[in-house]
Amino acid sequence: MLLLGVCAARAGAETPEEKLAGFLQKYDKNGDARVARAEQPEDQKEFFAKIDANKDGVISKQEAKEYFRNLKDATKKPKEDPKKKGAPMKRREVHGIESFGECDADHDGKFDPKEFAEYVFFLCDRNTDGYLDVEELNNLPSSAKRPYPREGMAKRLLKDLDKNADSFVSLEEWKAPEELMAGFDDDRDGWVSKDELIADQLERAGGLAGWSSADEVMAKMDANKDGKLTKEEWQGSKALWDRFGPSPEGLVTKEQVERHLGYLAAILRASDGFVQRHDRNGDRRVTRDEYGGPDAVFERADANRDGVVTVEDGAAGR
Amino acid sequence: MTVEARPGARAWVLAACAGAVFLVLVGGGPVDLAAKDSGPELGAGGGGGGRERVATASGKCVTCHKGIEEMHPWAKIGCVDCHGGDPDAEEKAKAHVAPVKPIPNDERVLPANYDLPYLRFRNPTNLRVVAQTCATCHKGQCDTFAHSIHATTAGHLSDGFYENGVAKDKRSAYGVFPVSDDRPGLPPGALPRLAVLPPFLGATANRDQLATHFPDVPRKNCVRCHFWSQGLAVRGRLGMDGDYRAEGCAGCHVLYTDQGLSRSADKSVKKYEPGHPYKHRLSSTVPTTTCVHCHYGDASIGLHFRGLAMLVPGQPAGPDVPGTTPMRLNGMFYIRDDKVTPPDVHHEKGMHCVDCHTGKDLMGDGNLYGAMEHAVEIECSSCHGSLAAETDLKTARGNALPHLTRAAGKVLLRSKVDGKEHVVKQVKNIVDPKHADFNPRAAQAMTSAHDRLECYACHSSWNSNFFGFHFDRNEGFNQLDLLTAERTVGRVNTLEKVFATFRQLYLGFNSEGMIAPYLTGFSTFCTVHDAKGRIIVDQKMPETAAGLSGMTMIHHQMHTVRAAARACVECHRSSTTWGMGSPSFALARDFAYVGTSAGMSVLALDRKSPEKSEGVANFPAPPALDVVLALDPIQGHGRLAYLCCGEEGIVVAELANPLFPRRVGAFKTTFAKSGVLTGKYLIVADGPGGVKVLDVTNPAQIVQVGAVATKDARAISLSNLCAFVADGPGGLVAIDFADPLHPVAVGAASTARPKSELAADATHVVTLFQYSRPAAEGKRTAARNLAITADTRGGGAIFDVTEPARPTRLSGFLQPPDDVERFEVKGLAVGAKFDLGSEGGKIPSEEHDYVWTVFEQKNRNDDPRGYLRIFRITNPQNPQGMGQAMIQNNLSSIAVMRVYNPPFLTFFAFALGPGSTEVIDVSKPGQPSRLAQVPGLAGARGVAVEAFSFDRMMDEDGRVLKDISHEGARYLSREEIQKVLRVPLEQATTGSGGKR
Repeated sequence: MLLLGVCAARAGAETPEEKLAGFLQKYDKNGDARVARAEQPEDQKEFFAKIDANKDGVISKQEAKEYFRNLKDATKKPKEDPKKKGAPMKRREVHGIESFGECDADHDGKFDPKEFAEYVFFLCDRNTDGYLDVEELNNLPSSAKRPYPREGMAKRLLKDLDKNADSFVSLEEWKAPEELMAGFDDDRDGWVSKDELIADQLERAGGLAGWSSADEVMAKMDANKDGKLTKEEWQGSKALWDRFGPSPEGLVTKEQVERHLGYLAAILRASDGFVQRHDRNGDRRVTRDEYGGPDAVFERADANRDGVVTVEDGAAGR
Repeated sequence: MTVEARPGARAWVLAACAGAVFLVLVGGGPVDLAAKDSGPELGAGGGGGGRERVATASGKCVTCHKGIEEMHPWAKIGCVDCHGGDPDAEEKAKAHVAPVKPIPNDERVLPANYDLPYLRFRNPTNLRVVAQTCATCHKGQCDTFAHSIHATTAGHLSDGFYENGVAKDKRSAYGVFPVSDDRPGLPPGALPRLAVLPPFLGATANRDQLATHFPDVPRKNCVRCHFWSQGLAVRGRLGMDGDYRAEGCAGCHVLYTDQGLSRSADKSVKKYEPGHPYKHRLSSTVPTTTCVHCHYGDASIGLHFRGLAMLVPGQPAGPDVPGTTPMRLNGMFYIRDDKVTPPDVHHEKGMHCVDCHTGKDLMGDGNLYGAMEHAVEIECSSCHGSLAAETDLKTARGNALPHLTRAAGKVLLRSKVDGKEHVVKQVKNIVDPKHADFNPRAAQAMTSAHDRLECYACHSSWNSNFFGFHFDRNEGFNQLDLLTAERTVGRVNTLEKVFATFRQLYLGFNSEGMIAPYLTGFSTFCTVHDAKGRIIVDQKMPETAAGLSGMTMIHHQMHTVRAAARACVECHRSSTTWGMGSPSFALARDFAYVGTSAGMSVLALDRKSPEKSEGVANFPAPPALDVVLALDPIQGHGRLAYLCCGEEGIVVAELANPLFPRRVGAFKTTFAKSGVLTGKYLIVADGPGGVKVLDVTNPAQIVQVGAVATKDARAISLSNLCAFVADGPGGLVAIDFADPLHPVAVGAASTARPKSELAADATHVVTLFQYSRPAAEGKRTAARNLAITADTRGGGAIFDVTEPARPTRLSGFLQPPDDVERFEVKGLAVGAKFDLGSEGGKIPSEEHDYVWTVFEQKNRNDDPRGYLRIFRITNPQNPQGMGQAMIQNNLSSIAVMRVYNPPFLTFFAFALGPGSTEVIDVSKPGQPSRLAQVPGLAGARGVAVEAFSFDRMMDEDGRVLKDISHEGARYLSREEIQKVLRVPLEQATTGSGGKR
């Protein structure tokens, strides 16, 4: 299953007051109820910049309090009887891994186990009701290189995690299996980086992981150097071969490989949050009016000149 | 037939007039052309039978026009002989020729056959009727004049069309009216025909292209400048001082005061109404003051010749501001400052334009020429001779110069305007040690090795280059189409410009195969607003049919000749001169690419409010210490980003869509810290790996092709085909890159503080070539190539690296105080800037060189603090600290961005750090102003702002980036430039009079 989907705003079981206390405990080294510049870790400057409302470089208690109070907490919804749930919330779909930045709470470029677990939860919560049901649990993501055993997966997880036996797993109850995360953690450092997620997508895309260009693919596979690939020369998956759209003679050209690689790379490396940030009406397209920034920027982003910016512009002209 | 010299009282009067006008320009008072006038009254002079004919042809005209001067005293001509009408009528309405309908009194170009009887009546020298009037006796001259560039406007129009991507052919194709020459055997440069400008049918298709909109510009602005039109200053239009003139032959041969008021004795003329000639009289001696009624503004030679230059946008000027004219002319004040814009020595000596320019130059030789260089026959050597021989008293085309004579061993030029004699030094004598005119310094330079240089390549004392002419077309307004006389959609404004420099020197081959100065021409970039005010073309650069940038320069005779020539090093030690660019004239485009701890972030720039710039994309890669951009030469957009990723080497991202950067290649090096791109070579400062040369022609298959071992290469800057490296303990190292595959270290200098026991630790280097400028007593300031370095212990230092093998420390700046715990310069940027002065003139407007620095300082018992500080290094031996702003600490780099929001240029600095990126307005060097932090750029290390460089005509590989609109003209090749830059200069001077 491709790692596509929405990642709602990060939330936890703690109250804003508890979060504030935890925040100060962690960062206010000298106990003066504020976090000075020297107390802010260098690699988390962006996170602190968000809290620093008056941009003076120092996080006051009031600023932190306001910040945590305004954090949306999706799990604050009252626990309704699941059978009486209303229509699912409108879902914002994201193509590619644009949601990575939104879910990387500490902005360190990688998911720790807690961030990963929440990412997976909201990814799989297709009906956005705040719970994972059996069907959703059956479709947890799995690494292409080290797949998680799916047989009886939902049953196992329900048995282990559904504490109140309501046949749903809430975010509170949810714990991502260690093997699930380990499947994506290529370098075994205990974190899942964006690169590792991308690599998994490339792997899933038919064995093109690590290949950056069609020239590279052709150099490896085009045995007779005629600029085209036959099915016999192709070393990737059948699914990808079919997606290329071979000619009636059963040939795939370098341009077709290039186009697919470009599209895939564009999707996977799509601008982190640009579309999400500016797509006000949730149609996955950013119009000039929605963007509101410099016209010259929009013009260059809209590579296919269709008047909107989408991930398809990443592949246009390539 | 050339313009006749007319000695005598009349000529003296005109000379006095010219002087008086010049005095106006320097604050000498109002114009008074007539100090003395003894010309005959119409009908009173002459003798013999001619008097009767004149009387008959004038009839009762002089009843009303009593006192009117005789227009053409050299032959007996009556009023109606020229003007038509009825000389016997006693009423004005019957005596005059009435128009068929009221004549539109504006600057439009009337059709060629428009109400000819009336136009003849108004101005018998109008080109539409001259066949019946002046050509009766002056047929040859009238025929050739209609074909001259003064009449056709040919080069002016076609250069613009080619450079702005409208015309596919460099050869001139257009004139104000269609004209042809069917004679066989046309000489080089001559054309068989010129067509009228094609109609502009509106911008309906391809509205996002500059070439779509440009054709509206000449139709609304350019075609009024020549002799089929009287231009903007029509009769009765007030406030056009300096612009009033006639059209046709009278455009030169009838004199106008700057105020356009008549001083004729003819009482019927309205003396208060502007737009009348000074007197009702033709003049065969045309002073400079007449020429400059057209040759001003962007037709800049008329200004330059007189020591004037257009103001820089926003520059204060006026009677209270030193260095500017006290009165407006042509609606403007001008720069008038001998230290910046001294007058041409010929003007200073009292010569006029016509004393050099022949009748053929001005009125044509009958051929249709498409470029000035083909139409002008006068050369410096026509009067001054050559190294081999004195002048033969002829032009380059073998036509005699009657006002040039030889007597008593001297060559004398007698002014056509005032009859004054000028001794003309001969080049041959100047280089002859036995001759009285011998000049040893001149003899050093004026050798056969410089045979291919125009004299004015060295002797142009200043060149006003306004890089970035910008036209704005606004479809919310209408403007008069000068050819159709209809008001059509689109108002065009062509007065905007971005950069200004008077010192820089750019050279290339002209279309005659001689090396000549280059100047910005008719290239423009543009912004277009639709009828609703929305921008539909945003600062788009032109592209020519050859697929090259049309934002270019053209060879030019600057008309700023002074005896003191440019210094040898300005050609022989400056790659900028030959078109390889400088750091000073690069205009920011739309994106900045920031190297971060996670690879690269793409920042969308908001030109109006840079603090609102937004991160729009992230490119995952190893931590990038620096980013080097390969730019599209047409628009200046980033095409490829080379990330210098330390021990991971180089990672290459393709930037076809900046929001979706795509990895296309990688290459492992020892420790890539920074780099520079020549064209196909990426020169990497590879830390302990020294300097590496990578062939990046194919980013997917990068190959190392060269290397130089150094101690710890951290930063690198290219200048004069040399790489200057900040080499850690190695200090400043100079590497000759004439052969990129075999670079050779040729020189080094310590960047440690002098007399300090601490070893060098050079971290940053930037380079800038400083051109000379006019100085007192006819001298010039020094010219030199500078390398500015930063050292963690030594602070900042400025080195003279004109001779890379012998870098010489000139001065230090930003020296760490003794009592600080830690002090480190984190980044440098360098460039020239034209500072606008204050309204009252107390602070002058001047061109300066600056270094922008960011540094960190930690005093004892205090928190570390970060600062941005600006130094003026115009005098590199005495750098002056300007303004300083406290910014975030923990800095990593600085980049300066030049942004154009019409009509002004603004400078912004990005100060990067792992925490955030700060934006500081550094437009006022004395008052840097912190604006904001740009969020979303955590871990920023280095930045590259995509920018269009106006003075980069080719890259260091010799690949031509910018086109030239004249056939036969070209830039020097890389091999030629290399040869020039490597000429030994043991005996050369810097230009200040001292030897190197």
